[in-house]
Amino acid sequence: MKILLIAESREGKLLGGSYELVAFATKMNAESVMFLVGEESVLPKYNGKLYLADVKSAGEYNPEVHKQLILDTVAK
Amino acid sequence: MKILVCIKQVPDMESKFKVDAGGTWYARTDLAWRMNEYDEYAVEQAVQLKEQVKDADVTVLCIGSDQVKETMKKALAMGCDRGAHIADDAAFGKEPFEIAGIIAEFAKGKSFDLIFTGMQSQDRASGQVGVLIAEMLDMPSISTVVHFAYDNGTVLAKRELEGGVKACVKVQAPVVITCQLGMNTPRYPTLPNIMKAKKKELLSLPVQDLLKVAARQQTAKIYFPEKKGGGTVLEGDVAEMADKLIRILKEKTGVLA
Amino acid sequence: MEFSREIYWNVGHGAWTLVPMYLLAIVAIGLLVKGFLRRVEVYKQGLPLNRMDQPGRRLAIMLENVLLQKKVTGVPWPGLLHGFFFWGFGLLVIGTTLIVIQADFTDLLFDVKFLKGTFYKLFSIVLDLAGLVCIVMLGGLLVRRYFFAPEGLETKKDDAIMHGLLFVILITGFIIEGARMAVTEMGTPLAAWSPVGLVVANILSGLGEAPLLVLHKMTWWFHLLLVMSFFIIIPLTKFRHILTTSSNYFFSDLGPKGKLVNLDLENEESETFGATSLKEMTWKDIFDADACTLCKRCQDRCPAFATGKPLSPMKVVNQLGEAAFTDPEVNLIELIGKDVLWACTTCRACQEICPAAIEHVGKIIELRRSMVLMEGEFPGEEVMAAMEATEVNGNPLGIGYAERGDWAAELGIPSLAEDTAVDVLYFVGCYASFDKRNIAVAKSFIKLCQAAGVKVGILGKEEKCCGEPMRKIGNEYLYQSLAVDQIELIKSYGMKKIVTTCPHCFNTLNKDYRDLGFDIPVQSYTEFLAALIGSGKLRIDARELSCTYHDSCYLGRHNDIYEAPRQLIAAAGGRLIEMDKNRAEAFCCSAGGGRILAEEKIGERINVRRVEMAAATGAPVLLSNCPFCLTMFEDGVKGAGVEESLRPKDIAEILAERIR
Repeated sequence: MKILLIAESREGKLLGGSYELVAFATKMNAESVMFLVGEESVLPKYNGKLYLADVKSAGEYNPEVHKQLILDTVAK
Repeated sequence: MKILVCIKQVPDMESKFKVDAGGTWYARTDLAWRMNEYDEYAVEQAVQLKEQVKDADVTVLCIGSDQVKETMKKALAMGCDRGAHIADDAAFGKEPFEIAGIIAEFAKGKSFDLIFTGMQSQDRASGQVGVLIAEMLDMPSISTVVHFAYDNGTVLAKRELEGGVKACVKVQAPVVITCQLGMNTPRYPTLPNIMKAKKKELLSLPVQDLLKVAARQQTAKIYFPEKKGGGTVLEGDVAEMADKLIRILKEKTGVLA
Repeated sequence: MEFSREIYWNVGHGAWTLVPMYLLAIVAIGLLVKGFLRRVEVYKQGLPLNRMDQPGRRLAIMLENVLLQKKVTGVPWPGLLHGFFFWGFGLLVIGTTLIVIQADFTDLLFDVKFLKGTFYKLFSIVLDLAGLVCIVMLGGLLVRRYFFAPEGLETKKDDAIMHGLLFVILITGFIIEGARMAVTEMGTPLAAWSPVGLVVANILSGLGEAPLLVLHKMTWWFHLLLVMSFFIIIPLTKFRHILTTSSNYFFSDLGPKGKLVNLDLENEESETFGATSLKEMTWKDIFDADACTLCKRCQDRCPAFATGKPLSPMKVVNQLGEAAFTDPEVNLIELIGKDVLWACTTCRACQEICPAAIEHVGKIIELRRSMVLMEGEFPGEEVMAAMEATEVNGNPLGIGYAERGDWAAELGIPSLAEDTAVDVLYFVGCYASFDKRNIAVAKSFIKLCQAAGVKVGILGKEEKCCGEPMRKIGNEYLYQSLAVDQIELIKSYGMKKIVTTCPHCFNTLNKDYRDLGFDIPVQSYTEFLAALIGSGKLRIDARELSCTYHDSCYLGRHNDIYEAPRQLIAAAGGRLIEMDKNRAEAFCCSAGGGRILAEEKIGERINVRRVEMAAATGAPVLLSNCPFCLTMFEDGVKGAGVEESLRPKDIAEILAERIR
């Protein structure tokens, strides 16, 4: 089983829900990769593969770009 | 301008709910029915937009048995121009993808400039239908909108985000808007409008003609949340209460182990 | 000698007197009639309303209130001043008419004189004293108005004209009499039959005969001119109340008391509902303003006015009148103000006291109807929410309809759907069905019925709000949908009798529903229980209880039920300490007129004011007969800080505690 976790950060802070994603993936004992628009520094300890998009270029709030990036991630 | 408002008839949340025999939905007995709260904001916004641009035609759509026509009449009395009733006695069992599919099929080729839906229904609360409709019709969507403004084809909306943050979104119509509490105060229909509503077009279409997608999820079970034990209030003087607390912590938790 | 006097003494009875006198009279009466016809044109701007049916009964109401001054003297001070002035003035008018009849008709044409002998003596003293009474009463009224004006009394130019003119007419009357007596009656036995005239005669007698004759003649003509001016200005000043207020008794609402006009909602032709302009009010609504004498008795008793809200019933009535005469197209709701219209609790204190038979409440409701039915407006969002809750669940509290009968489950009370073999249907009402405090009252009532061996049924979850608060707020559409639904339901069970513990339900079922074809007898639980106690079926232990009692507006003023609740209190052993404002003068609890659904945002809290009145009696228990009142008092004792010392209770509760 492979899970894609889509984490979110806002103003340099990871949203609460994103922590729960990590916990959920751990509980399911599944292989997971994470997608995040933001800085790596905001992440807690995470062992999976991380696809990180740059805030400056992707923007904190930009549904169209984010959607495309996520689809790209899924393709990989 | 053509506007579509999608509404749902839901039980009043003050009703006494029981799980039905199948265990996958609530029983329909002893329930009072009304328009989904968020859909009321959708209807109100559609009517306000119509009043603003003058030349507009608002269609209200609802899926369900004949009983939902009562709720549609309220939307017509609030100012919608015509009703499209998708007759489906089993609508309550349909999942969001099917519902969105039915609506998208209805809306296809009708070139609606704006589609308003509630941000979620009060009974199923999936919050997916509006957004799925937009994807199916290849339209942009703005969800959980708390403020809506329209000017010459441009929609300026404020969305509610977590933590009290709001986002301003600008988009060109056509667009799907899902409406959240705070967007407006739905009007109370006036008597002349209630009377006019009785004469407005309210067409019924069989759901079979519009349901072209297959369900992707099914409800396995619905149940009441387990009753969690209530809090215990400790009484007595401070020393006594401290003793009681230590005893509870020892007996019931591992904190002091 | 024959006791009499020469009519037209000194002024002469020839053409030089009669022609100008009668010409003046014709002109004056003509102008009076013209003045009123002009006003009638203004009244006619209103919609038609039949107030001419049952003329005999109407005439009786009119005579009782005009001749006996019943309503006017209902407030003894200053009502009696007006009453005595009226009676005195009436005698003077009759006396003058008798003179005209004898001098210019019976004597002139047939040589018949009746003002002679003993009758003349009586005539003389009665008129003489009547004049004195008029002067004293007018003086009293004048002193009240100009020196000790009570709060809220509006004094205008009209009042000065009226007081001045009447005074001068009365004084010149005595000068004429005194001058005549000084010349003709001094030292005769007849003089004693005009004691006031004699005093004036004694003062004037020093002048000598020739100047007295001149004085007499000039004053006579001056007096005549004044009287003619009086006629002319009747329609132009508040003097018009002589005719308008009297007629307004004739045009009274013959009842049922306080019942609102049923709107025809089926009529496809109507495009407007309720009223925003005068054309949508009736002629009576305009006429009422002309009948108003600004006595402010309504305003003095208005609970909204008393607690700093912008409503004055007197002002509303007069604004309508003023609009009719100056700006008939004006939007009345904007003119009067929405806050004013929403403030009314329909307590009927204004209408009950009005000595001019003005109908205040219906006007306010008619304007509210327009706000609700035409604009979808309410006094607040909470009221709109209550309307929607009622549409969905049949009660303004928004509680699931299926729970409506749950309170009765443990008492073994069947719903009619389960068992129709019951003696009476108890129409429970929303508060006694859902509100914890009032459920206790419903249970007490059931216990009393069970103790008396009466089998009671309820409608359970089929019962809906009777529609009273909705109707009073102006939502006639919702009221009628509820009413039609409930009427059909109750009729389908073939019930013979209905009892209510809520006076609002009682009033609505017993009056309002009658317009919609409902004919089953309805009784208030107070009268129902009083009859059960009276017949010995219900036996109550009288146990000492010191209490005060609040007459709810809808049991009291709206239905005149004052004694049955007091009998029940006495049967329970209650020692009743009445509040100053009791029975027809009771001060509203604030919850009538649909205000139970609305927040009270302006001024002081009415319920707290009423609780303070109850607390002032020193009684530890405040009894009432209405779920709205009870709810407001439970809240009010907290607001007034008397939670510990004053306990609000329903009469049914103290009775149930004392079942033998």
